[in-house]
Amino acid sequence: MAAKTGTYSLIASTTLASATGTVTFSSVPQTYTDLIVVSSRQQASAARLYIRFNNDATSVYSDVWLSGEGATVYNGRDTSSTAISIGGIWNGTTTTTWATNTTHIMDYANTTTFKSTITRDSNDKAGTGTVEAMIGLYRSTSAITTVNVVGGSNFSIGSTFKLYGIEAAK
Amino acid sequence: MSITSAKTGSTSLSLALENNFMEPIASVIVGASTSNTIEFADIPQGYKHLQIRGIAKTTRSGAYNYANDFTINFNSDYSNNYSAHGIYSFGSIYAFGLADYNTILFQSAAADGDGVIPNIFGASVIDILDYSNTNKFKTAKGLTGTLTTADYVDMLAINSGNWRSFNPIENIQIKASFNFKQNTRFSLYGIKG
Repeated sequence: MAAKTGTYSLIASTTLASATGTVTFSSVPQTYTDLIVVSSRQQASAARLYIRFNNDATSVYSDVWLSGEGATVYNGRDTSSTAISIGGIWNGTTTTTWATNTTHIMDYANTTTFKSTITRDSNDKAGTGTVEAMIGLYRSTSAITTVNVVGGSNFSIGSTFKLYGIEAAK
Repeated sequence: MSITSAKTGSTSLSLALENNFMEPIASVIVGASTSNTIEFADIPQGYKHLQIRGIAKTTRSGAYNYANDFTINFNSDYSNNYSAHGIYSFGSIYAFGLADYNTILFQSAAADGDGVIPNIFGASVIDILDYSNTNKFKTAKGLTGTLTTADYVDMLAINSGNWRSFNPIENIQIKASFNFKQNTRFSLYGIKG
């Protein structure tokens, strides 16, 4: 079994110069196996973080999440949603800490399977905060060509979003 | 879409070799002839860590819980040399911690419900640390889950596992109680250190 060429390639990156509610990666190359979205964010007010695909805002998303908030554990499930929940609630008041998020989008170019995402999110609030994991589903067999990262409130200036491609051995 | 190098700032269409801290080693996509076992054999020993990424579904037709999802073993060792901890969420119904399997590393999610929900696959990302180190027991961690059609069946898990062996990991067995469905895919990567 021989090692192949490299992977984990940066496809696109943006650092916000102005506040915005949605960051979109469009014309995503179809040459990788998985995608990874890595973000560091602040938001204007208390809101969760979401992801949707191909600008599709119909009720074709679902997710399960597990959250640790302080010493308390929460879990939940969303069905027939218009986006996958991938991040805990940003409280909108802390200016020196940033929430971090890594979301894997599996087999995004496959036209046979529905698309699964799997996420780790941390959202420290200088003494409180959350750590979360999520599994998400986009009930579509369409290849993902556009990734929309959506804040329940505007992302703040300086928030960063990076899209990576993971290529499997051929 | 333009592609900008994180390393050089240049715009290029071939960044793979610039960012080659992670390399694809092998990949298996289940075809029409299904099986309940996938194996990565003769794993190169030149990396620091390994990562397994994949989507999985079995041919089981009903909606069940995690009990028959896929498992991982190393070097064909099926003896009581493994232990694990996990945090699980089954939909919104309940969440709990689980410990101490004995003969497998830990369980990960493979969607079932074949025939009812044929397009849904579970997702997993599993890191195997210091896999070739002969002075350490081997440690792995996983993030895995699947969404199906029933609240109590939907599953999300954060796992850690331990294989109590100093032997370098030379092959990995991925097994399910039912055959893996066509389009199940497992990919093995090497992480340089």
